[in-house]
Amino acid sequence: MKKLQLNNSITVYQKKLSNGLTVYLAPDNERHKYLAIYGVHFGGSTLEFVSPTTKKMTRYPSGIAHFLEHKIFEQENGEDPFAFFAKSGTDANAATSFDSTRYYCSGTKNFKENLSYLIDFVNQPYFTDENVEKEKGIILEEYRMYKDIPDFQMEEVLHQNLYQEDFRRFDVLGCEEDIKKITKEQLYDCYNTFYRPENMFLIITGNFNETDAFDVIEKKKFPERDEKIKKKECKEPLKVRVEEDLLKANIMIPKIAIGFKIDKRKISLSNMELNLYMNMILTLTFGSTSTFQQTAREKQLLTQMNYEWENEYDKNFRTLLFYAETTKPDYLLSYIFETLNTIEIQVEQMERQKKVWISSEVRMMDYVGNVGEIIFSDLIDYHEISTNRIEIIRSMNKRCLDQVLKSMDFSNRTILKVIPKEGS
Amino acid sequence: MEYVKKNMGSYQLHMIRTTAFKSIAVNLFFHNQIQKEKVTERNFLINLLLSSTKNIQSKQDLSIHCQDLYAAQISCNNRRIGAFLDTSFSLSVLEDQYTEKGNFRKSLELLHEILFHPNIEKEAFSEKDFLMIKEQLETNLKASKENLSYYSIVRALENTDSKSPLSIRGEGYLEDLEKITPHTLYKHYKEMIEKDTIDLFIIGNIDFEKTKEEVEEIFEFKTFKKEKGKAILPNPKIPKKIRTITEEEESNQTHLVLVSRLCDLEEYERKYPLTLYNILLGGSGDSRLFKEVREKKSLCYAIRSVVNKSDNCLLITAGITKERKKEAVKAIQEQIKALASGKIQEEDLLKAKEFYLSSFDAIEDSMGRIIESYYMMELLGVDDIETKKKKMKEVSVEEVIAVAKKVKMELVYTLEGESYEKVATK
Repeated sequence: MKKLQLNNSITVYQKKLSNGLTVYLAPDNERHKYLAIYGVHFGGSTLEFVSPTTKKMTRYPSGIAHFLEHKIFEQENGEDPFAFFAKSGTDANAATSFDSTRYYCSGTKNFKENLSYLIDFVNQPYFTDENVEKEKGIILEEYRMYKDIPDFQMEEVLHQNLYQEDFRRFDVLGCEEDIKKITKEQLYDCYNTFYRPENMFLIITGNFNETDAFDVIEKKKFPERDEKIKKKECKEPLKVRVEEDLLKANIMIPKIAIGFKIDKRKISLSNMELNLYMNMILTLTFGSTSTFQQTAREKQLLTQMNYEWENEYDKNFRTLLFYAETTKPDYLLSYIFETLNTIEIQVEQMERQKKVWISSEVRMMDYVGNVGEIIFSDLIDYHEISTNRIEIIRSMNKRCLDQVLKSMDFSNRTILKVIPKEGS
Repeated sequence: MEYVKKNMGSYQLHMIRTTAFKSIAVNLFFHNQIQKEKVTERNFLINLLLSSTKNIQSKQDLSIHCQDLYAAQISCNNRRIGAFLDTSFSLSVLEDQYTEKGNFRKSLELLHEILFHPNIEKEAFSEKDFLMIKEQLETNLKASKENLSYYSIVRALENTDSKSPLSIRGEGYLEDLEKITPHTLYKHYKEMIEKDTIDLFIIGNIDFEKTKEEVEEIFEFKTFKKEKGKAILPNPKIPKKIRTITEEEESNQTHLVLVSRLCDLEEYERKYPLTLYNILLGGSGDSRLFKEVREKKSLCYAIRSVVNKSDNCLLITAGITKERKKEAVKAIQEQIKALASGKIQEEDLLKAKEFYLSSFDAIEDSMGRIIESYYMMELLGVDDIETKKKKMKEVSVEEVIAVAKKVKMELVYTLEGESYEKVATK
């Protein structure tokens, strides 16, 4: 068992069990609440893999990881996991992203019983033709709910235009036709392939005792699988699929979205370092203290803007996404491109931002949810937890930042304009 | 955790000492009777105050000032609580031991600068900031209809009682925005500072005496203390029949909002049995509506009930398919009737109590929730945390049933989308 220090503040006990499951325990008894996350490295962007039934590379419907997340809550004895957790006033839920699915419970009571139940219900799902059909009505309503959100539509189309082969071109929820096609056999295929201890992790933060936690975990039975996971490796071309597109939506104010695919082959930094430097560049260029924001406000160019440097999943490129709401789409687009091509960052700005990030790291340690989120994000993004984040931030320097900037090429991009439908 | 309240003459100072956090949080609340025509102006005002000050001339510079104070976070929010318009300015900053000596005091001084030295010339706010914020608010107000789930609730409340404060749109109104000028905003600002009731909360690892002295040195309020009336809206009349209103919108989903009035509630019922009634009905993942309407009948994905205690009002919202509207309304009404007819097991009530108490225990993990809890004691006269826990445990099934009988449905509002067939063939 490893004993790590998260930002010199929280102790994390890390242990890999003999079955392959990795456990991260970060007790903090200053808090009242605990949070337990049981997660799997399987999400919406995995749609083709060797089926445990046919032993052949098989394509599965989009949205299947999310559908599986819903169905995991179905138990053979008919017990509703929500009802179980409710007995002790414990909150429980689940979430699916492109890369992972997580099940969690959070409460102040019955720690051992709830942890035990969390592991059991995920390890023992029960799918039937009837309960799969019943779930389709619920998931289709969820799908339609998101379809009515203009930002969701914009994001969906942007991903479709950015990718040619990668399954990220489909939303995690899937598309309506695919959701309707999903069967119990396909769900079991996914479950039996990915839900195995060596492909899963357990994170616990907040008010609990680590000995109690290990007592529960080490007595549990976990599914055993023989064959290795074989996923299709999507060979995604560097070039974006569509350079420009127009979407008409039920909106009042136009929106724009830009997706960049940025060649990263010449960058030698670690994944985490690159993330920090790119976020530094983006925050100082487009964040609240930037001249871009001030000018955009004065010229009334935008009402809101978000940018996202996405996590690494392809060895050749990284993606950078911009979303904005504006009454002057063309003007704003030109201004964003002009700004990207003339970025200059001063040491003083960098030092100020480092101070902000270090303060934020210290502050985050006070919240059970934040500590859980830091460990979870690290596992998904870097496959390990970074304990010395503050030191890494402190060591950031202008020379390295300039090198990152120099290697950035913002010409490979897709632009999406979203305009109001007539009559909106 | 220790709490003290000091009467500072023109405002109340509330200090909470706890060693559980590395930050200090400050919340400055202003409240007064809500007036529909003033809501847009108040939203305008708080955006302006956070844009620049007399000595810090732009939002960019203001952000840099905050960052120099080890990422001090300053924000502002408006909300309606029953008959009151409540505005809060929040500051959160790391304790001096994690930054440098005097950092907290400088952060308080920045909050003071924002509030007491606005960017004003000749009794009017800066024209440049005014135009920027006006454009932004205009866009936001136009775009508020894009969130159909929120918009359906707004329309349902407007159709329930257009004259009551419960129908006031929190984001304000386009027609009111046009009437606002830099001069009217300055007048509004003066009124807020001079006439609103003020409560200042500070929580963290603080020394009460030293903190009080710092606050006294920095903040000077000259407020006219005047009784602001009650936050809780008057007891509603029992609706004679259930009204049905349907409006149309181009969307995939149909948004259903059922509005019920809470008639003749006693204070104790509002404080305790009503909370448990709502948890049982649709306030948790184990609720009747979740289990029966979503899980058993697959009628929706999102369904919940929300109780607005100070409005005497209960809302049930669900996103459904147009074709299944009748089925959904019937299924929801069945659950309301079941509770009113006494179909509540002791075991279900115990679970609802556990849900409430567990969430209560977690309050102490959040500085914001601790402040909110004490502020509600001040504003609404709710009991303190320990009394709440004790009394909630003692609520009986009969008391919840008595509340269930006082829930009277008034309106079935639907913001109707397209038919399923039309969506499917798109």
